[in-house]
Amino acid sequence: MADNVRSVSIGQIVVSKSAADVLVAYGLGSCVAVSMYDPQRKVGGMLHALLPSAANKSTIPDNPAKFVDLGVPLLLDEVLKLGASRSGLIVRLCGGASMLTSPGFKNTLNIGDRNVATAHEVLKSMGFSIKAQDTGGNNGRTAKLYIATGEMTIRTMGQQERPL
Amino acid sequence: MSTQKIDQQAELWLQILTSEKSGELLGAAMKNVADNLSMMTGREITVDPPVLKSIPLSELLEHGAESPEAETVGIYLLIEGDLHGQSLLIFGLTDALYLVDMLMGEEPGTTQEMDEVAQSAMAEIGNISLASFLNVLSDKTGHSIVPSPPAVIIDMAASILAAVAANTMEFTADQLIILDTAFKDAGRVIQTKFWVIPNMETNIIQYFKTK
Repeated sequence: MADNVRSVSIGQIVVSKSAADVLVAYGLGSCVAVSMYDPQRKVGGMLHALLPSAANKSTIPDNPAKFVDLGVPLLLDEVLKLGASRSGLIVRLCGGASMLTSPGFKNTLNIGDRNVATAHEVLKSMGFSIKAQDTGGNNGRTAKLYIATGEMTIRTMGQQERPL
Repeated sequence: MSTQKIDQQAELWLQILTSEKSGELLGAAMKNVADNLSMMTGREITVDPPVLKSIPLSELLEHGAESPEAETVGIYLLIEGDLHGQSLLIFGLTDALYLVDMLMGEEPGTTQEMDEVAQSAMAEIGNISLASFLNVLSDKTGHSIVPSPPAVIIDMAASILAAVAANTMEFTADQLIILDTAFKDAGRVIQTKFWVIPNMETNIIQYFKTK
């Protein structure tokens, strides 16, 4: 079966139960991708979040999936709506690199680290454990989730895809 | 940062980017960039007139890259002093290698990878570009505005662009405000994006909303 690539852009959640679909978050830098997959029902989804949390907590942002803390619960809602069972979900996490580092920078915002830390906190508070992750470092990554098998892969620049 | 300082910065950014004299000021600053890069490379480098843009997050990639995984060299600097912001130069890997050969006086194709020497040459390009730009702004406004040391990043285009966007969007809505321009050499071999990004603690977003 030919792969049907579905790009998950920044601030997006994509869910699918179509076996041909491959959900792809291209070039995650400090961004993180969280995936949830139900191997029984072959339903999966991916969130591609830019920032840990909204700076202004009093208003709901236009695009909550831009934020890890708001996006993860939305991802769960979406995969459940598509028929996934909460108890069977496999949760994986990747991204959160430190891209903009230089000895000359006094103060970096460490958004990558904070995205990863927030994902851990939110998932833990929802009762999920992370089955696999590829986070941190200084390199961008492309993450893929194959809906047919639930397999996930990671690719960094100049490298082949490898299983997560 | 105190509210007063933020207000001062906002005022200065607006003066530079959106006042009646902006066209002249930014034109002079970019001309200085072109002159200094031409001197440095020994080639005629031209810089397009800069355009102030408001880019929605969903369109970030199409403004900055041909494909999200394209091998890209980004030179990233902070704007410091009386004015705060970020700057990014974006090169395709092939263009970056060609530029390194130009700087080193080598035949095109000599440099095959972005080794330490090549990276430091690219860092120097970043230094010269942003310093030439900011020096003119400093002179004309009387404020101290200086570049940080550069970071050279070699990675997928999407990774670099999103990391830069994240740094400003922490404070703002779903749009990125950039002063967008491009360098070209006379032979049009190299095309580089040069972005100047005001810090979004300022009220530049407001300017776009009311325009």
